Amino acid sequence: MGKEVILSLKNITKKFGALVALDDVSLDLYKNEVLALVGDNGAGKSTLIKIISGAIIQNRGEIYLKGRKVDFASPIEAKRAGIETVYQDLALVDSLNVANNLFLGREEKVSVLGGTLKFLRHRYMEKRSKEILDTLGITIPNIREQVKFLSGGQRQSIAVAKAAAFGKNIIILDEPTAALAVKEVGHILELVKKCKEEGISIIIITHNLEHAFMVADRFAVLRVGKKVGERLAEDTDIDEIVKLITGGTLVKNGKDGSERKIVNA
Amino acid sequence: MENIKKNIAELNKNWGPQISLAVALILLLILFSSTSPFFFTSSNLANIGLYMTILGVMAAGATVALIVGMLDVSQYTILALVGAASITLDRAGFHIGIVLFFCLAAGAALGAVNGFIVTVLKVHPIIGTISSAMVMRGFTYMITASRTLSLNPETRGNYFAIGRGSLFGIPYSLIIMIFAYLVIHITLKHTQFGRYLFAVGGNSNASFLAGVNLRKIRFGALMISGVTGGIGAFLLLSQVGSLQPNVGEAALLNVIAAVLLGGISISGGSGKLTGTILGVIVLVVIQNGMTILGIQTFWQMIVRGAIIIIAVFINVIRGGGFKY
Ligand SMILES: Nc1ncnc2c1ncn2[C@@H]1O[C@H](COP(=O)(O)OP(=O)(O)O)[C@@H](O)[C@H]1O
Ligand SMILES: [Mg+2]
Repeated sequence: MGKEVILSLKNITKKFGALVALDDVSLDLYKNEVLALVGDNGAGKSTLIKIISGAIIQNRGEIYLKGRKVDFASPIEAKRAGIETVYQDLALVDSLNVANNLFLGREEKVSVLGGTLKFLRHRYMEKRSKEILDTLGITIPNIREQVKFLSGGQRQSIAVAKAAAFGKNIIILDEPTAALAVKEVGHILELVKKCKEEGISIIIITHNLEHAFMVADRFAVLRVGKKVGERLAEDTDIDEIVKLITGGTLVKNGKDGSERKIVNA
Repeated sequence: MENIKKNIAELNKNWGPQISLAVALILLLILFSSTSPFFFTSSNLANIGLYMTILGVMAAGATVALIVGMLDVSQYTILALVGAASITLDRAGFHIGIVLFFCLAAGAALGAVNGFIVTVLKVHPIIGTISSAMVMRGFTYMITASRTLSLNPETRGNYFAIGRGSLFGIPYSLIIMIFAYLVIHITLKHTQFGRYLFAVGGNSNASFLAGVNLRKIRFGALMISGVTGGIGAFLLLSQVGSLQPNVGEAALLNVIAAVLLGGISISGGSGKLTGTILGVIVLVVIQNGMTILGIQTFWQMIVRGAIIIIAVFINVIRGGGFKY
């Protein structure tokens, strides 16, 4: 793995009233890696990725993208910087169809009368939507179906496909495998690997550590708003990550035989 | 068999309100023409047609606002204020072309005031537009000194040429209304703004996360709604030539009634102009029929109120219901 840092979070703090959701969190994301962001419910994972995506704004701390400081005031600014996010509560518009959802926020238009009027390129967007889904191996029978009539897995796939198709630098997935059937989970994880092969960096949040270990290169663990550890996937295992998440103490031998001690934060 | 069932379900899903309205319309036409000899006369139909154009244009604007999930109840008051100001301009000697332009611009400006109240001050749309309507009604009484205003007798012929004239037998008012529907239809179906109206009405949070500027979309929708109020003012002047300061006060919810009757979901995210225009026609026919049959005003009010309740109730059954 090239050690080029693509995204760097420095001392991020976020408060909701009196509640400190994130407390001085610093974290680097490397180019072309899959980082699993794990932690218990309420640890602050979603809050952290929403800050990276411009959906909420931190109280303190800085974000650097490829070494440059960025201040995303809204999601569109993060998108312009090549960061695409699949939110935990699936940001799809149920009443719009599949193609409309895939292109929501980045509609293709054709200019007439020298740009005074712009009209949607319906057919082009539908064609591209089919191509996007085909390339990712996602089967949706009717691209004009409103997404409210699709299964959970299909909806999840569409959300991930949207991120995969348009994320130039970073793709963030918040609980993409929650509430999916086994086969569908496999599919989503395949999508993550495909994106990585394209040279993109991925942050994946999941409660299922087995899923995380199937795709992640590295782990970052949050506990009640603080970062309590980072591990390379090859240097750790599920037991250790669980201890980090829950705050239990663990003494175990590393793969190289050395004894490592993890203490409560 | 399966296929037929599926097709019927599909038909109901997409066109249910329109089909029921068309059936209701036919039944109403049969009812009124069999109970009154005056209903199917050309003068009465022309009467219905002209009134329909005013309500129709405003209903198209209200549909745009409702697609984003906002009820705009200020349109008739925009009509009153813009109409009063227009007559004042006419009497001050301004050309009809300038008055027309004023109607459009003033409608847009008053819509923008609503937009400011709703998106910047974050007042709920119903409360916001009711209160702005109160303010505007006050100004209307002020401008008119509480009297009926009439166009300058010298120039009103120019207005009547439009309001009462026709091209190849088609009234100009109707042509104006159809034009407004075409423009709004194209906006809804073929522009990014139109797509965002549906997106924001369907799920504002998802739209925001997808990069849509919510404030801009809501603001724009209320401006369109306001413009149609301004067009309504111009149509009224051209057809009637005068304006009472209380115009539309009793009919405040007529536009909303027509739109809801047309099956436009009150919770936002959907809406078809075909439903709107059918809702307008049915409502106007009911009102006209009741008047022709000599049904007393209080009964008419009761029926009108009941129609709104029934329309919203059907809306709820079809999965709508209040949201915003
Ligand atoms: N918009 C908000 N307003 C108030 N508190 C919030 C908000 N979003 C999250 N929180 C709180 O911040 C903490 C972290 O939440 P979250 O980031 O969603 O955790 P996770 O995704 O790790 O489960 C929780 O205590 C949660 O209740
Ligand atoms: Mg979460």
